[in-house]
Amino acid sequence: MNSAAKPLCLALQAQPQPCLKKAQGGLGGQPWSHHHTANWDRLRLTIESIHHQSPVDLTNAPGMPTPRSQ
Amino acid sequence: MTTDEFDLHKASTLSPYIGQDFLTWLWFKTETGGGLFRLSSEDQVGVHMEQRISVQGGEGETKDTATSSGPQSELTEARLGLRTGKKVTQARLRIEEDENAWQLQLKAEDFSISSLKTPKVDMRLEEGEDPDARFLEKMFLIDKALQVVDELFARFVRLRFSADWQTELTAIRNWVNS
Repeated sequence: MNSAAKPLCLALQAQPQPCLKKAQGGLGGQPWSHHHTANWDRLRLTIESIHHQSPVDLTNAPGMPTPRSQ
Repeated sequence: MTTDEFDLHKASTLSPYIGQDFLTWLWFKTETGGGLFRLSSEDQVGVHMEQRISVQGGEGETKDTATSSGPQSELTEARLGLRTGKKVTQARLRIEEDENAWQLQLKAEDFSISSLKTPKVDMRLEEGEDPDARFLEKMFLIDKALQVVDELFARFVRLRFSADWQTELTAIRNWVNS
């Protein structure tokens, strides 16, 4: 994993030790859990909005509260 | 930033950790940059990590969580955890704009927001007032908090995928070790 793609929990350690689940591998790893899919959806939506310079529409993004839940 | 710099393969590799990294970065920015952010609307907001930050290391039976629930100055214990590979799992944020303040809990794992408190809205209607007005005000305040979180995350993503990330990483490393 190159340094630019290294998660902070690895990059910040003085003496690197495993801090990630093996099952959390990205493409080619284990199937993503719901949470990781939610993370990916959020990240992808944000990246797309930056490409198009439009506000992030997260109306249907996983994990977002509905007004009823407030 | 060019489109090429948004490497979607890299993004998909990072995605399981992006929430943790975002909260770590936000914590760093609020402690070292005074927590002031100018939004695209030109509004300036103050963002602070409030009282409660959880960091977690290990997995399964070796899972170890450290939670700091004191004032900002006492978050040192949680910050020390970052040196040993712990990850920020959730944080309570306080957002301030002028005299208004919001509080919310943000979970790194799935970006879920909970315990959202908006500035108080007096729900008592005055004579002749539109009955929807107070409800709409409350919705506006909820939306405002979500907008701030979205903008902060978008700012993080821009930086995370830019060449400037290495410089930021060095600064974060210095902060963790300070």
